[in-house]
Amino acid sequence: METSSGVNGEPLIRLEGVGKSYAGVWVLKDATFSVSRGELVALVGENGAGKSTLKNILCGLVAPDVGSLTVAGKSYSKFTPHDSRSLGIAAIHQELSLFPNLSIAENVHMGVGGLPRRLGLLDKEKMAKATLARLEELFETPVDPNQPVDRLSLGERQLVEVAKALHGSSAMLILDEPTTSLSLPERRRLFDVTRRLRERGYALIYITHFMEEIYELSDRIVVLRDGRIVGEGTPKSIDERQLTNMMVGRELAETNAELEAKVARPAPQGTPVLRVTDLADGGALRGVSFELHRGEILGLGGLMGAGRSEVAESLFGIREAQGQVDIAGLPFENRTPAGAQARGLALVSEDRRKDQIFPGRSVRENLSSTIINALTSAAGYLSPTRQRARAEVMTREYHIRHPSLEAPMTALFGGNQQKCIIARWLAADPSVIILDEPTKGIDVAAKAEIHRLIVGLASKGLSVLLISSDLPELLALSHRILVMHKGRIAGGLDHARFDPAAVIHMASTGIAA
Amino acid sequence: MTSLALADRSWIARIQRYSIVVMLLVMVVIFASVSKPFFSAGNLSNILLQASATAIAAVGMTFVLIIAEIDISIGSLMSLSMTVAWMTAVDVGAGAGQQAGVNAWVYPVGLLMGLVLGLLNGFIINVLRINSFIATLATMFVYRGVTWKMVGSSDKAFADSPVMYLGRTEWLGIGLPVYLLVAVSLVAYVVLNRLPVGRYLYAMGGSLRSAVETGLPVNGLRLFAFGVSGLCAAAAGLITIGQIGTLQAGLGNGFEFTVIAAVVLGGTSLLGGRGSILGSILGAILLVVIDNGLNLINASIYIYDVIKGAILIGAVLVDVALAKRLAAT
Repeated sequence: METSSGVNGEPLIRLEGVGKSYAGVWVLKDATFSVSRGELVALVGENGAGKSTLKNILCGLVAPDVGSLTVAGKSYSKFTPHDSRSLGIAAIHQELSLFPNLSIAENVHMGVGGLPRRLGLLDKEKMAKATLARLEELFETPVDPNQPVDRLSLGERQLVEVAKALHGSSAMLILDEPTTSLSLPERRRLFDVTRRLRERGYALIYITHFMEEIYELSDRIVVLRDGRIVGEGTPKSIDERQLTNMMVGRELAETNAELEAKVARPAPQGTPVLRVTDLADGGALRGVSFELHRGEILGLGGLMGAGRSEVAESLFGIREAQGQVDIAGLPFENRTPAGAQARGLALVSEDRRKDQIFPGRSVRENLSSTIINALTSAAGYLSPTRQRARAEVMTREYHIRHPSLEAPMTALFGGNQQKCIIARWLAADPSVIILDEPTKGIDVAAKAEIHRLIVGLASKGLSVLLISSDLPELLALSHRILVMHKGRIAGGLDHARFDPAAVIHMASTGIAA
Repeated sequence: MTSLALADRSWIARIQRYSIVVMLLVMVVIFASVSKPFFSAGNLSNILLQASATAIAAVGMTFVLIIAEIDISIGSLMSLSMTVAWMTAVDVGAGAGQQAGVNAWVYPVGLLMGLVLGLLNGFIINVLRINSFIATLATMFVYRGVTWKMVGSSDKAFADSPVMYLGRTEWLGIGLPVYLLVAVSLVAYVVLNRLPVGRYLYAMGGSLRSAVETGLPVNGLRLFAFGVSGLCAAAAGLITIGQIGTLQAGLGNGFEFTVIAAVVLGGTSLLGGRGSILGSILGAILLVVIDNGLNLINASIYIYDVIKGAILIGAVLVDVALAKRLAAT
């Protein structure tokens, strides 16, 4: 694949036939990719398409299994984070790589070149001055560089992350979803900075979900899907529709439409199964109220950090919050996870590896973990045979592919793990299920299965609160969508008024469409 | 956020930061009011002297806790270092039954052993990628076992050796170990706050993931922190030997927990990224103040540890409550 040349023409980095697999699954395969000096490449694709892996390879954080990597004409067999940094490559990670306990100035200077010194001692003055100069470029009203980072808002932290990356980079900058927590003026500033870097001859990779950013900034677009590069071109040669099709794959785009047709209309009405009034914790949640009806799929959209997961955690009693929660008309006070389960609530949380599975335990035990009491005999004996029988039924019903019921949970691929988690919660026969990013990072086939499952469950009367950053998913599955912004519900859309632009607008500005 | 809330916030943050000072002052006032001899110059200088070994080891432990690791081997590490130092420095001429003289080599060899054993802890954690609690629990047993093998059940005397000079000399009415403590703390303070490496240690403790992504030499930093901890523990060992005059295989048994208690009382977080040298030293002094004060009012000796434990829990509870307030404002 020959690349169109940038301003200076010469490729700064070049990957050839690069692949990386985890547990037999290729997260990146046969990737041939290059970026030139003075060129901005938009790297697009759905969650789990391989963008992060590509980024991490360039940062030296992930070592590819196969393929070659050439930077500035030199080929590397082992590429460490240190190599990457000393070649002037820096990244703005979506998960910020900041040190919350240190000051802004220290954060910006951490890394390549080290902290400035005078007579061997830290030169705090110089550090603060240099930082202020960087902050002035990015902030409307610059903050005190000696302030600790944990006092800053999410948007401010993101800008500090940008300042940190800029400080350590001299040749290449990778921006991974750099605008998710930024206000519109902050975005504009970041775009200006990005353009200036391109003029100075930086090689830039810009990872984003936002179409307007792709078309406004990029010289070239590279599309990834399921770990492969599936398309490449200039903003002029690919229009938005073609781009979406490449990202999603035509097949799935059609299923989405079919799926949408299967969701029962009109939206279920009547007495709400779940009623939430003024949920607040003085920080992430600032007064959230909504109702969820029987058989309804209520979509909850918003940007990262808008407070969606916090809503889920508060309802389930994992996080402390004030406010009234009624389930089936009865108030649910002193919320705890055990109480939530007893009242028919189930939560499939976002980070399944950390919060949901028991990694070292068997598939059988994982599947029966919500119904241990039901499987235990009156004498207090938990029979493995009964567990196994039950697990057998569940794996068949939910099409869970597994090497053996006794295999550890970690032997399953992401999609099957997720199906296990959902199956396990459904075994407890809940009336409301909260799904937080249920298809994040899982393959297309399992994703489609989970989508069908959600629709099927709702049609049988289960109420679903669906938290998703995957906009097509949210639009296809929901009866109604609420959009959160900075701990509040910014607004809602009924199915008739569904519109991706409206959701994005509400999510980024907090103003109802 | 109103300015009132901001002022509130900084107050809470200040109390949280200096809670050890508050605790120490409260204790001193209580004991001074119930016992006259407590607040005499002689007793206060004695408290400092008694606290110096723990405080120096606490300085070293602070480095380890700041990077969100822990070192529970220091008691054994100290006894093994001192044993090797004794073996090297003992005058070979002495016959059986005679008190052997020990020469000045005991200092460099003791400190070097402490450094080496500390680095070994860091090395094991880095190479085998095991949790520091488990790694140093293992070396705690190993170092202690080797010490028993070398020392046996008979005490090794240090009588009339240069090491006694450190333990028993006073300048201006203040014991030499206190001067050593001041010197060590100043160096440690400068390293942590005025040298880049110190800021890297705080950074690593604040977020290991970020440290790796930023390209900080995390393995080197870990070696450094454990090396400092070992070195400080050995220095504490020299002071202790100098004060008691003999070496037993059980030297420093349980010492690690006193030291960790001192560091935690001083406001250093077990989760890493937060902690100060001054706090750790004050923590060590607080523990001695409790012993000393209770001793002066003739309290039952059995109650000492109960009170220390209660204060530790109380301190952590207050810290958690303040942190919550801070997060809520």
